[in-house]
Amino acid sequence: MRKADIYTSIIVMMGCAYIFYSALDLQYMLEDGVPGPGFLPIWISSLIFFCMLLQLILSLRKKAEPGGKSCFSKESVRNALVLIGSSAVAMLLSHLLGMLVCLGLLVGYLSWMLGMKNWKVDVALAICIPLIFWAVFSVFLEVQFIQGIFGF
Amino acid sequence: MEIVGNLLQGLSVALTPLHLLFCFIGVVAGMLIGALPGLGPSAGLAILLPITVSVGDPTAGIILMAGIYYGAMYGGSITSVLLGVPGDPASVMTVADGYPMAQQGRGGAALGMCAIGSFIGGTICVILFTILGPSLAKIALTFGPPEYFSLMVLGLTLVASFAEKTPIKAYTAALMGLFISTIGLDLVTGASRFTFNQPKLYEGIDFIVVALGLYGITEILLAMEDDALSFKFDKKALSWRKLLPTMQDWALTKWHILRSTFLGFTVGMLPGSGATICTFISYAYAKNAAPPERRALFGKGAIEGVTAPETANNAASVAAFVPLLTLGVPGSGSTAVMMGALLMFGLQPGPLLWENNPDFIWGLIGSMYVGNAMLLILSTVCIPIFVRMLEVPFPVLNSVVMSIIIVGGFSLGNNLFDVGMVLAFGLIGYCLRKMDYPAPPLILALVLGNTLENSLRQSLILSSGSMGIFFARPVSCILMVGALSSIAWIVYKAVRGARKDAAALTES
Repeated sequence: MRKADIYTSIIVMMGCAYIFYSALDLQYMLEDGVPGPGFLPIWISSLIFFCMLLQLILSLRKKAEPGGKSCFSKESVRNALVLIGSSAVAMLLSHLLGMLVCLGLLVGYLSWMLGMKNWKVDVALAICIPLIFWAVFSVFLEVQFIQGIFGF
Repeated sequence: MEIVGNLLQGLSVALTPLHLLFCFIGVVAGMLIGALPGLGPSAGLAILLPITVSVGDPTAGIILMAGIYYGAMYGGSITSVLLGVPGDPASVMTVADGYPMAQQGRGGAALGMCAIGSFIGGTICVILFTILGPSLAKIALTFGPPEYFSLMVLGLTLVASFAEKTPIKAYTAALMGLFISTIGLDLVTGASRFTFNQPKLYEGIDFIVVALGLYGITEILLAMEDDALSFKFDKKALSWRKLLPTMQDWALTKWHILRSTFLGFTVGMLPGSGATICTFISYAYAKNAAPPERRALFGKGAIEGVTAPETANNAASVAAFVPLLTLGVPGSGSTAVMMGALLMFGLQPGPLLWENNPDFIWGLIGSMYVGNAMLLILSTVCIPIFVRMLEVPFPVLNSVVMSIIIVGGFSLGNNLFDVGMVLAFGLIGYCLRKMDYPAPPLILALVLGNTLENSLRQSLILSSGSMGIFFARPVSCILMVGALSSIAWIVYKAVRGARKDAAALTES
């Protein structure tokens, strides 16, 4: 955690410096002392910078824990990649295959990847969930899903 | 008499078949959401928010959300008692005595008392809200922009201050939320702020997009760290008869229920306090107030130790509506999500809502009475059914919830850009949570950001640019002093802690 805190503080401070610099292009004050569009971003970035500086100092003063656990295990990184990555891929494919098809594939794939190693359940999910979405969102709530080569 | 008339009108709104159906769906969904570890009330509300907004009818939408909210507040107790796994942070204290009771074969009685305590606490608090709400709204009508600005600053600092472990990170999270709220076109000058020439960002980042990512995806990723694939319950201990408390249980808990109700209502109204803190205080109070022979049983299966926090939990969830609906300032992450929903319906929460939309307000209050009764019936008669539903394997559940989040993100503007933002905020939220940055201050600040900036501008127009206006008006001054004091208290505690650490190091 100590290392992660140090790196995060530095990254966020760099981000704040960028926000502060960009906000300088915006008007700080309008007429009669009314805050302009740059007022809040300048103050917010300064305050975040200050908080992160404090966090950095506190983290540096902390002793490194021998054998201390990292807050991101290999497993958690893999989980995040599977969940976010597969969802992103599914959405990218939705113009080609159609959103409902992609959602079905995504649900089936995620269910399998997350531990449901029963292909009958996964296939059932891949078929039923898009049908439910079609009924609830398309028919009832009138959401227009992206259509693909199959025409739905 | 006016209140009674309004309440009857509200009940007539709440008892229409459509609203009853939405209340029922909300309570059932809430109970399931609350029972599943990870998916707390905020995450549940965020995931179902796009569906709620798509409904179109604000009263039906908010009744659904309120049902989810207090359903989830109770739902957390199911797994806390039966498995020793709290469904959400507010159910942590229930585990202390609920799980030992389940191990002793009294899980049914513990759940029964949870349900009854929640019902009594919730109903008394709705009555208090019915009486106090209109008066508080009238007082709030006298507030001007400086008072609102100070109130919002107080709310944000208190929410951050309550993050005992990492106040600096909590303040940073709140500031991040404020920053996200500045993205888009400036409302006064039309200048674009941090939009990177992306037209989709001109209207700012939708609060639902952030909530779906920060609560929904993050909670799934956190739940995935647990190796368990599903829950297994001992269903024999949950027959309907065993859910009914005995006369001895009643005698032991009746005063704890009343005390926890008032405690939950009082503490729950304060911005930032939240139900979790109420449960801790009420458990500690119940333990101290118990006679010595009962006190020794706390932590080993005392029914008072289950009833007190669960009553306070539901009382606080009703109390959280008070600042939201009378002042227009949410006090917790969950009520911030609800405020976001109200804004999307075109309703501005606050005192004017009582004058301009009485049907909506009183319909919501009416639905709270109905919802609490529904919660009691469902949580006693239908517990065996719920337990069966909770046996759905986690991989199936997580994959389905993920797809709901994606469709929810897409349905906001029928574009994939929002879905991409949801995924990005999911990843950011996960990193933040792993590093102890709390989500509620960020969401609260994001929801309040635009109003806070407008109030600041209007205040400074009134004072011709002088910041002294926040200290010149009595109410604003008290609120601002409160906000500064909460920051000072955190700094004092941090300095004292650092000195203690330094002294300990010198001694060693």
